Amino acid sequence: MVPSTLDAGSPALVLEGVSIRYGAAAPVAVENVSFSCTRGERLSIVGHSGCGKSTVLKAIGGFHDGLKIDGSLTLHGHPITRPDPIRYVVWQDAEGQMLPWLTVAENVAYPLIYIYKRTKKEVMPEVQEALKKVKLSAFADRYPHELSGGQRQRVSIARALLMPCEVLLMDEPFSALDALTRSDLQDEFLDLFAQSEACLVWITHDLKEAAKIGHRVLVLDSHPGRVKRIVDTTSRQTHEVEKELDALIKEEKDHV
Amino acid sequence: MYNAYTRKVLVLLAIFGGWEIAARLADSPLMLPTVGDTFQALLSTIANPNEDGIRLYVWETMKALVSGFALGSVIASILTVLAVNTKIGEDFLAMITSALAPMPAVAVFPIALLIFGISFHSILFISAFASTFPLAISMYAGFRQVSKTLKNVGRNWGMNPLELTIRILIPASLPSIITGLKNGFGNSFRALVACEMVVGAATGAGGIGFFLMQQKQNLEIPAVWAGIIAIMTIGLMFEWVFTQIENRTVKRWGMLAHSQK
Repeated sequence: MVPSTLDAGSPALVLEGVSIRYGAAAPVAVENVSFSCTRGERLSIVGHSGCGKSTVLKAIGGFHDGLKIDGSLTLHGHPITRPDPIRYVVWQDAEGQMLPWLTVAENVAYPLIYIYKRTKKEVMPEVQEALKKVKLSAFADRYPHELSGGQRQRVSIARALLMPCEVLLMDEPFSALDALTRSDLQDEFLDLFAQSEACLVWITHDLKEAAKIGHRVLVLDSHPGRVKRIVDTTSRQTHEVEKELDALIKEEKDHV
Repeated sequence: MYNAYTRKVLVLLAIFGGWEIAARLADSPLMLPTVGDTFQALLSTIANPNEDGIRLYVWETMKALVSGFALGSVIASILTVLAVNTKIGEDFLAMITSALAPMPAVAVFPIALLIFGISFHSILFISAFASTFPLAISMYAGFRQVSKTLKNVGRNWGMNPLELTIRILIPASLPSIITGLKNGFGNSFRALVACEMVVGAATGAGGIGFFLMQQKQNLEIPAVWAGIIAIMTIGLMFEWVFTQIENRTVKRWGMLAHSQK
């Protein structure tokens, strides 16, 4: 089941007529994309490989090097121009986002210590609590290489949950995991994220995951990536939304 | 079959055994002294507290080696940080390493003598020169190999290029940096001993290279071999230090696979 209500409020994250190229002379990768996301809202973005999902996420994250962006990207009315922990990104590469020289607990604590200048002693109780939530308490003193792919992604989630961010950007976070682990982590994530007021943008190619996670699902067309439709999932069964998304994606495939 | 230490001891015994047999067959103490004579010379020169004992020479070499190596490491770090963060720095490092890295450090020794004269500074220059490029090359390769995701994680946390270098790139490149340090040290040590043979005591008390030449001129051949053993021991000692650093850092963190043997 998907949640029945949306947190009403003015849009926090707004994209208006955003077109993106990889360099001034390159073809348009993403064209005229517009959407908004309010506080506490969860927005999934789906589409074929290469449709520009991750490009949109990079643009929201502020990773603009090498990109030529037209249109407007704003958070609370302020233009997005560079990376900022207020728009926190969880990357697809679970191993790559761990600092291998730090233990699991230190990995979770590091951004809080570095960004918010808090002491290790101060953050450790929160870190232990977050690790408990993602069922990794017993692994707090291990190093990332001693964990499985699913456990590493849980560490990323624990780290993200402790960040007082306004926008949480998830770039296919569970794509490298097996179906069973993925499903477990989706449920765990929804439980843990329930209290968050951040706006969540979740990139995935898994339609079921998109339907399960998002209050709304944005379907992107390919070459260039355009908004095909935004599907509202509230008060609807996951499998029903998944079916609609499947039809939309197939429609595009047939068209191509 | 045997553990690593047993295997190493067996290899060492085989080498000394072969040496002893060869020395006895050659029966020429001026060409190849026996193992016994060599170790006797080694122990007596170590025990000798006077100016002609090996301790002072080793100390001189260590002084030049450690200071030159430290200076080379600082220069290599600056060059690499500039190369990673600026285009001009990248071009400069690429050009300078391709031109100078293959060159034996002793080849620039005449230039060092012209600039610094016969002094400790010229020895220091060679030691630093020999260690700079192997370290810079490894460090730069290590920085380049850091995953884009990890760099993006640092940028997402709001790190500027310098903070990113210190907090992410350096620790993430540690396996390459340690390899560079090992290569740089080896290069520096080899060049240093060679240069000490040329300038001798003119730069101070003279290093281990000068000790070898002096003993050869005095026809103290067991002492020459003792000096060679001292050089090997210093090399092995530093190798052990680097291995310990590796074991306690990159191997422990899973950044470098443990030997399976």
